[in-house]
Amino acid sequence: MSPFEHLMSGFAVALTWQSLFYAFVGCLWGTIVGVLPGLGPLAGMTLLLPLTFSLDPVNGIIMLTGIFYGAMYGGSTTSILVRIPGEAASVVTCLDGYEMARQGRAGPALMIAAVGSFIGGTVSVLGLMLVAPPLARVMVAIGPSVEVVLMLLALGTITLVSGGSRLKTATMIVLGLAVGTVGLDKITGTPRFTFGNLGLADGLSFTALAIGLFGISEILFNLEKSKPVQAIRPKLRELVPKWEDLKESAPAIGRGTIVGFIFGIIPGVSHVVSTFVSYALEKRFSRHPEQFGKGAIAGVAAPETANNATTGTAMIPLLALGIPSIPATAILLSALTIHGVQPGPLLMSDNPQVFWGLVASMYIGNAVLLILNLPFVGLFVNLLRIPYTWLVPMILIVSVIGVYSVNFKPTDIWIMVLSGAAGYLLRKFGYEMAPLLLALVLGDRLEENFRLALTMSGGSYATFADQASLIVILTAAGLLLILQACAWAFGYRKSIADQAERA
Amino acid sequence: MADENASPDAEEQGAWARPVSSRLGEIAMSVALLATAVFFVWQAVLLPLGGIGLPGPGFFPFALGAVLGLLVLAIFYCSIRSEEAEIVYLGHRDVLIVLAALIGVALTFEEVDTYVILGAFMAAVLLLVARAALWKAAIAAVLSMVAVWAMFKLALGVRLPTGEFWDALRDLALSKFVGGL
Repeated sequence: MSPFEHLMSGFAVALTWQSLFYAFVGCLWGTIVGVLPGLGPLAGMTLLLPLTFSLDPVNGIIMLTGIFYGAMYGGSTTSILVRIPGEAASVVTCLDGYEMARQGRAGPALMIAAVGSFIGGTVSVLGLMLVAPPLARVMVAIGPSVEVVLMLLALGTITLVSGGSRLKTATMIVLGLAVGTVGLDKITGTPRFTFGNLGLADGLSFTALAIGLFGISEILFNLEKSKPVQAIRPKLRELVPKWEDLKESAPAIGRGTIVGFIFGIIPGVSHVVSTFVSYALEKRFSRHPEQFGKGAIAGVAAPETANNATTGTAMIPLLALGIPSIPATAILLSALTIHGVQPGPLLMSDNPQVFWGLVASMYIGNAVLLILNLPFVGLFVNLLRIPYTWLVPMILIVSVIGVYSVNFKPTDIWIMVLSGAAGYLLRKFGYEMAPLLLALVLGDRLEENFRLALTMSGGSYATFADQASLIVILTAAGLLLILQACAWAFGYRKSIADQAERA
Repeated sequence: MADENASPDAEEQGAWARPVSSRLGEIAMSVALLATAVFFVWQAVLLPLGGIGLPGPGFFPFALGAVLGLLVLAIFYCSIRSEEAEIVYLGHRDVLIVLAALIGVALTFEEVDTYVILGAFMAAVLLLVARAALWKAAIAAVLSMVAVWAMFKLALGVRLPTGEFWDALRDLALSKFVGGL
């Protein structure tokens, strides 16, 4: 079957009313969490993760993916109207978006952000569709040693490029891998750290840990700084951009799509890096660079397009290799695994309906978001009027029931509460949760493949440096090095990104 | 209560927040993480470690515990050597209340009826954190529980624990009124 035929079969899955409904719910929830300051895609996905377990795998993943890119869309709304980025990837949009809103041009800024996001998101899904299948075919031939190398490379890159202290990031990765060893050893069946508690045989509940570390800790963190916000409210008729706006935005959207798609490969912070690079690139290409920061529409179009264009690329390592490169795809990986679907090279042959259904749903989701975001922007802005302290108990109640309903064990509620408190304290002192989550998801497979590779090689560690591994290491490292160098050349600095996010 | 001489920054952090030197906090975090590393190494040693070429179930946790320990020691060393840095506020009133309420939910979730305990949680957080009026908190708690029932029980078919609350209430009512007759 050709990719086109596969895609058509995907649309047959994604266009059922159930799939459309869950795509809509995912996009709606994603937009809401994106709009609400402090609740990003990760918290949004983790909080609804347990609810997807009662759905079939395709619909569950469609809903979670909808939340992922819905939050990317929603984040721009608060950046433009309130100057509060809904999530890290919308930080750059604040610079010109809010200035435009102050000048009475919030409507065109929102419109261009939405159209750019739609184009970036849609083109990146096209890229995913074209790149993932051949990559998966190559990866089928690789052995466990290369898989170990790839996972270490991903974790190593996250350490190097993530915000904050590298030492602390590395600590969180090792802690995540260590926590992942709790439960029965996959190879010998020996219980580890279970202390006779059968409830721990399957390890610590990932859902409880993820909701605690991301959802609860984020809620606690935001409680400290929740204050009423004053949003600029555009009218529907003000949304239509002028011809000049479209002329200025079109090339920015084109470049933003390319930047987002390429930089989406960088593990860990791809969506943030891509927004900074595309903004800097636009400033260099612009005939009026002095207008940047003062309400240039290209300064909204490029980063918003880029951050949505990374979503498709971020799915490539997950779906083709089974290795999540960003925390959001780590949550998708765990959801797929819980549903009994193993992402990786065999996904497309073993579960084509999941892969192609997901691809098709991403096209549909991007269209749903465009329809949802523009006419209802006023409605979403109204959400900002609900005091955060009123939302907190509702979100927490959904989390508690969600966590409990996975295994019906009260221990999971304890795990969620304790990991939430631990996550809050760790974040207070500059430890990031994203690397911990990624390591937690990868830990099991890393150990299994590591031991399998050693068994197959008769105990020789040279297996991790054989020809195939070296090719993978050199190719991936070279690519990442080039991208990092480009990002650096275009003005992306970790410190600047951190400062901007804090501001 | 807030310190009378508290800075505006401290005021923003809530009435119960206390300033802590980030250096001191980092040292405390390092000690906690070091204890975690030692725990992993200690427990891993009790498992079959296997050999370097053929690792057993204890090998990976042992190695990870050891690496974690080394990394944490490096952080500890950096924290000790660093000069006095920024102030971090700990003990924000709302954070403590929400955490305490969550612990209450975890303690009583299967003992008391889900809707009762979560409704009480909702009301408590609205009263103490959102500072809502009692009637507003009560109405919001009832409405939210109706929404939870509709969403989880009706739509998703999730069976939530009913606990012993209603049985105990019925027994109490029977003993008070029927028993007294």
